[in-house]
Amino acid sequence: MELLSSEISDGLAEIFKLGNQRASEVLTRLLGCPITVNVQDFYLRNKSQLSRLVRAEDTTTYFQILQRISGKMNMDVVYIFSEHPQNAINSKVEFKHRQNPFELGREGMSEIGNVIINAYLSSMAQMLEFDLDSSLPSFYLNNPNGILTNILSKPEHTSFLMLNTEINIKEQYINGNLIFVLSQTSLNTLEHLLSSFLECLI
Amino acid sequence: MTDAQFTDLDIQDFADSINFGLILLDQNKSVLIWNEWIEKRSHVSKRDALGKHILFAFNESLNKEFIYNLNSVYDFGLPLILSDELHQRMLPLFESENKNHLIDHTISVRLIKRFSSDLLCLIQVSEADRSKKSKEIRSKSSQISLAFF
Repeated sequence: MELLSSEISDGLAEIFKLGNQRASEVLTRLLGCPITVNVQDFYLRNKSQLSRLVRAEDTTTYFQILQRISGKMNMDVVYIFSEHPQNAINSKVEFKHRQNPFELGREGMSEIGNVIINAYLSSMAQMLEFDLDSSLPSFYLNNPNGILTNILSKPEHTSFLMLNTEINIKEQYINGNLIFVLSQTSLNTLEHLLSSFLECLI
Repeated sequence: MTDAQFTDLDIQDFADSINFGLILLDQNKSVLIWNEWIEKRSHVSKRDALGKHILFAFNESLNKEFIYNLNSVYDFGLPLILSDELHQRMLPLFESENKNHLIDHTISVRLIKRFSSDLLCLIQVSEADRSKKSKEIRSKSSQISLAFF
């Protein structure tokens, strides 16, 4: 199952550290209370491995934010909220301008997902020194099979770099999955850029 | 229609026909397009806004958070959503019939690199829908704490 070399994993870990820092800073400023975001774990999966991970019997609706990336690497980046963040936010955050509690809907969820996607994407682009262009985020409500269909919609997408993330709002934890959906060409480019990045560090 | 048939007038007419706010900025953040939706709700005419730096295009000074976020789009090239649910009235926009009544709105900002050699920045604004949409979304979800994968 392990598809990433230890060298490539080390390079990605460095990028995700910067992503953690950026996501934490932006969410802290956005919500006005100390928030940390961390990548708990990450791994690469191929199509069949990804399909096996999805629990077919799970009919829960999840919130999915998707941005399409073009440039040196063409890929989709997807963030899936494993739970609605509203309760955690309402119980821990005092809003200066808003009545509390408030309703967090499509735009608010999209904004939080967009912050997380941008934090890790911009860290990757900055550290590996490549330009990219991104669509605006699209928001979907889907069950696991629907999400899988969405992620696998392009036949050229064969590799999935998956990050388990955790948002910590004053000891209230919100889990999520960030997925870089890559073609073989994009994966090769990513590995090449990571190797060059690591060579510069040595 | 071929590319050659598009003119500035066509684009401005097109922008005016859209039922949401649209501002297009150039590389220096000066206003290139200020559509009718924005004109009515900012109470600033196209004539007064076009060519001005976005900081000075409105009648009131801009929210610092908006400026920070706009700068980050130019710096990193990644799009942003600024939702009405997490921000309070980022732009000085009012009801078209009432200059004293601010409207809640969601903003999306993205760079456009494809259509011009220069960098362009597209700002779209939609008025907040105070319907029950967020409750509808919540009702479809389960409060679970398991990871998806």
